[in-house]
Amino acid sequence: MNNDLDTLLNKRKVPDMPEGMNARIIAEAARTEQTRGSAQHKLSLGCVFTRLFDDIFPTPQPAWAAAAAVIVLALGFVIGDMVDIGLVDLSATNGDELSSFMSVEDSFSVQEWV
Amino acid sequence: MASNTDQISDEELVRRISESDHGAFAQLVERHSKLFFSAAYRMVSNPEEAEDVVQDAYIKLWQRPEAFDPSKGVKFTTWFYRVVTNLAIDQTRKRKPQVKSEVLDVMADKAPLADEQLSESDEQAMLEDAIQRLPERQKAALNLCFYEGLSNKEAAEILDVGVKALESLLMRAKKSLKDDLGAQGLLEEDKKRKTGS
Repeated sequence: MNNDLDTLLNKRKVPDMPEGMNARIIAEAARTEQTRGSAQHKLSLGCVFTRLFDDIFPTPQPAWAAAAAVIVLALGFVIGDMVDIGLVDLSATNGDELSSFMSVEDSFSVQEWV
Repeated sequence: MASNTDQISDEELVRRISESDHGAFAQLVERHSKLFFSAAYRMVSNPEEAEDVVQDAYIKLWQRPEAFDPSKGVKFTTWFYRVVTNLAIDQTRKRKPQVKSEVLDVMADKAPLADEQLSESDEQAMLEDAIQRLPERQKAALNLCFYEGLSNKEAAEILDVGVKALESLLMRAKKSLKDDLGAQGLLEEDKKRKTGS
């Protein structure tokens, strides 16, 4: 029988540290290091490719950039216009009124979907 | 004579770990693993789980050594106790329902023994169970102050509470244990008080 709580608490035992625990922790860290190393490797490869890309396609000077932007804009207008003409051919230029398309759309009823 | 490696402070070893120095990590593991294994075991009461907790704590340190900031004036061991304690609490939460049922079984088994002569291992088991039944913060406070020998201030820092709150946790832990162990006939003073002798 124990006289007081502290005497009893002092009887509490802790088992010995499992054999090889330190080695397992160190090995696990080494494995984690490989993962971390691999991530760093991938990152550095990414940097190399970015640098290579920059070497092949150097960043244009502002004048070049402005010219390129104008060309892209003009190209966009031309393509847009061509597409627009194509749309007119399909609808209004075939003799049908645009309203006829709308009336077709207006005749749509929910029952058709049910 | 102290070896050269013993002279390197924990804080310096952590700094080297941040430079991926595997030797420094191994040294820090060798230096403190026994201490932290005991601390983890006292929280989870299972050697395999305690090892997992210590390993997780060290791996976290290896992966993010910058999480320890010595400029805040905290010792490495104090900070690492906190990591280990929190991981141990997480571990016990994961398996709480199972522990409760185990504890009930143990209580049922031990109750008839109260008036009999208890073997030392029975006494150990009952003490361990009583401690494990404590709420986790009370248990952590008891472990840190009573078993790890930390000051109330250090234990309060680890548990992220004020010193007064820590003292209250400790007081409640001891009272619960006294009631619990006394009821099981493990404390003489409690038995005397009950019998009025």
